[in-house]
Amino acid sequence: MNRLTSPSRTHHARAAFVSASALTLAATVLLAAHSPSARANPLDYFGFGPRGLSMGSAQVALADDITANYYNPAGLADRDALQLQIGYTLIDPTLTLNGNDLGVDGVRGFQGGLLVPGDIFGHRLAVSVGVHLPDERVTRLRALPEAQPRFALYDNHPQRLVLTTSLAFELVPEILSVGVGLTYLSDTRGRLDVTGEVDLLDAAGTELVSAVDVDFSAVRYPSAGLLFKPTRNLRFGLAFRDEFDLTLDIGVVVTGDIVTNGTTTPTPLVEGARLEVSSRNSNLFSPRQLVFGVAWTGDPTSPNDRPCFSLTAELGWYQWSRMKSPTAFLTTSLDAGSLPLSIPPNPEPTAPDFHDILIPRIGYEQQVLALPNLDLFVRAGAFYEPSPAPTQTGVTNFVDGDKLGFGFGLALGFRDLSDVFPRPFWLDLGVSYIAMLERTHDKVDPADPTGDYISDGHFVGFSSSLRFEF
Amino acid sequence: MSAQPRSKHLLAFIGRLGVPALLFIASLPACAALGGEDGGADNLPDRGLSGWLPTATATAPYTLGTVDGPALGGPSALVDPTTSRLVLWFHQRDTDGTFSIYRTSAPQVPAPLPPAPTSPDAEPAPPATFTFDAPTLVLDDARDPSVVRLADGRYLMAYLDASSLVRLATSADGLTFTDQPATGLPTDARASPSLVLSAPTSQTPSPTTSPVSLYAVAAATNALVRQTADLDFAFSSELTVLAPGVDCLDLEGEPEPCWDEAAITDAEVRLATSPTGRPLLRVFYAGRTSSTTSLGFAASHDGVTFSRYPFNPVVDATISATAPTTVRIDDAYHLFYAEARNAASGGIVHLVSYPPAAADNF
Repeated sequence: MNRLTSPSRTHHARAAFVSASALTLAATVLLAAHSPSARANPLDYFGFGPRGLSMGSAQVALADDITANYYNPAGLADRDALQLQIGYTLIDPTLTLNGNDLGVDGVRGFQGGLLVPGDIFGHRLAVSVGVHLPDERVTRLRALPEAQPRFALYDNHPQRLVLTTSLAFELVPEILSVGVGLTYLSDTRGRLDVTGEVDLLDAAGTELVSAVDVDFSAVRYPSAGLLFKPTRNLRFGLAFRDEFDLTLDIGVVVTGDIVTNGTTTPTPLVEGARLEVSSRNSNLFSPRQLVFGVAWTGDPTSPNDRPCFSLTAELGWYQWSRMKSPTAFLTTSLDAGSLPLSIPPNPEPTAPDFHDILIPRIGYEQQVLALPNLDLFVRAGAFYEPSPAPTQTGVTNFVDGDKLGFGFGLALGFRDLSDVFPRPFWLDLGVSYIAMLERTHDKVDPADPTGDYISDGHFVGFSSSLRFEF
Repeated sequence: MSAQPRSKHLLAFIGRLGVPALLFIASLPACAALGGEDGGADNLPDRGLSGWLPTATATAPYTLGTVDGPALGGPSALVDPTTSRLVLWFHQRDTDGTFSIYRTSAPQVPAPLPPAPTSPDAEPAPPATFTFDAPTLVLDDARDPSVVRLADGRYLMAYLDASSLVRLATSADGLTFTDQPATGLPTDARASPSLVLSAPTSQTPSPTTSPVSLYAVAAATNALVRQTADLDFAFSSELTVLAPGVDCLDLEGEPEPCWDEAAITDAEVRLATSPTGRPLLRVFYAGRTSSTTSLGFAASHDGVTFSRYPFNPVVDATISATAPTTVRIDDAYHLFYAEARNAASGGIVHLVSYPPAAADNF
């Protein structure tokens, strides 16, 4: 609730803030413990929650609920209501090469979170946790050959759990807020150690003992935001999300003796031979992002305390040029003593040569109904996302295309229905359609194994949520 | 709003509505464990270069011919647009050592895929092959036919005569051929002539500069050469477009013998269209080392500069494989080639590839 229309706000909230903060942090730890393989951000592609989905994800200057964990953490300090939100998002892609659907997996899962406000010396403060919990798989790791066609941004990246915690503080009451957030992910490092004797001539004489050691080391990447409201109706938002690059590092180490007559009387040929095979790849890259937006809002016209309209536009910069190849790089070394054995080096994966992009977004929200117990808002938005991937004319097939997205949605606010809900609770619904524009990939090499192809496709998205305010 | 009422309302909410929701959320890890199929790799483009399934069986290794002879070879396949039949011209080595060209055809019925094995250990049954009519003699003292269909509906054949010189002939029905006068044809021996006809009505530019391109293997160099002509059949001078393989490297980057280092023995060049509408020339060819003959693939955008497929050979035959010819019928690619067991016996092998998403169209 905006402070100008919330005279009931008291300093007793500080006590609630402290206790609720502890609860939030405990929940964060609990959830983090259950997400050892969390490693990506489908929110980058489809937004967070139905409001963002329906407004083209133009939310950096508007988000003031748990979705601000992603869009702009500073927005978390914009309202004083304790919020609990749970919803479901479904994105169904149809991405084709030469008109044939590749069957790229959709994104579907629960989205929600908790926002706990408070204040310190008259300055609003909020902590929050937001989560995207896929209901199909918690995470997926795979490294495809670089020549295998895949929709590079949608094949593996969105198949992840996302957990973000944020802290927001109002520097200048009703004018300037800042926020910071952390998103938790994990690297994957694993090693298979094999020791024993290898019989050079008879497999039956080989004895090996193996051990597996896999480590999901935590990775956190920061985000930050700023919300500036020079007037009652004008809002500027600035959000920064740092780059992260998660690795899948799997290795096999075989040490032991190479012998003959292993089944009877082993005769060592080489003692202490060693074979190391290591596969390392960038399993997920998310670019550094800087998003700036402006919004013009109308004064509230009903007790719901929401602006009667909001018009917003934003521009985001995405530093895709630093993306590394998602192809596994295999390194091998063999020390076979006096035996004339060697393993040829593998070529390094071809650089993907992605480039930075600017994404413009616009969104609009309008209240169309204000009944005693019901408010109705409608929303719409659009964005244009140029592809960071070059046309695939060489050996790689990291397919992507420009995207044009449209969204539409509505929000129903229910008031005074029960003493359980002293404030409105909201049902948000959003749908989106994202067209991936047709793109022609003509290969330089006429004998390329994949050959020329045309890529295009679309996404159909739906999102809903219930948001309770207390 | 004070903290105490806010907490009270939150607890009331959890008590009345939140418990079922939280129980539902708690069940989600079980749902996540179910997982899903790993999507994203369905219907990948396939150019018909690999994944060949032989239609041979132990008792019928050839779709045409038998192991006892007579020796068949030099197949040239074409789908007749008027009859929708698969037509095959090939040569037969007669008992006196001379060759004759025959024609046969089969209903253009896509060979059905065999049923999947009922157990993992069971050998899958080979896919069905075509059922060809009894062959009809087309030309005596001729071999290595290559046939294309002209815009006016006539058939144009290039073949080798008894002296291994390239000749041309035309026919209205694909059965009765008459000599087609031409100038500029080579006066010394060639092997495996292959005709490419650019479509004059095509909206896309042809990679051939003239309506007719004639490819053949030059006996002196064991390389693929090209001549072009307008429909007056006045051929240009020869240009080498694909020479025997050189500078092959093994995995360690060390020089190794190329699979086609000794000679290119046969080649069939096809004008194709890529899925983006680009014309290109596909060539399946037989390459030879000192001891083996295998089949490989190369392609060109201009008909002059050919690039080899990086995973050659595509058919690593245990017995000599020569004279490949390919057609696409619906979404399946068919490869025929000649297998010679000895000078007197051999037949025509049929391989088929059923990619989920056929790419090149020809």
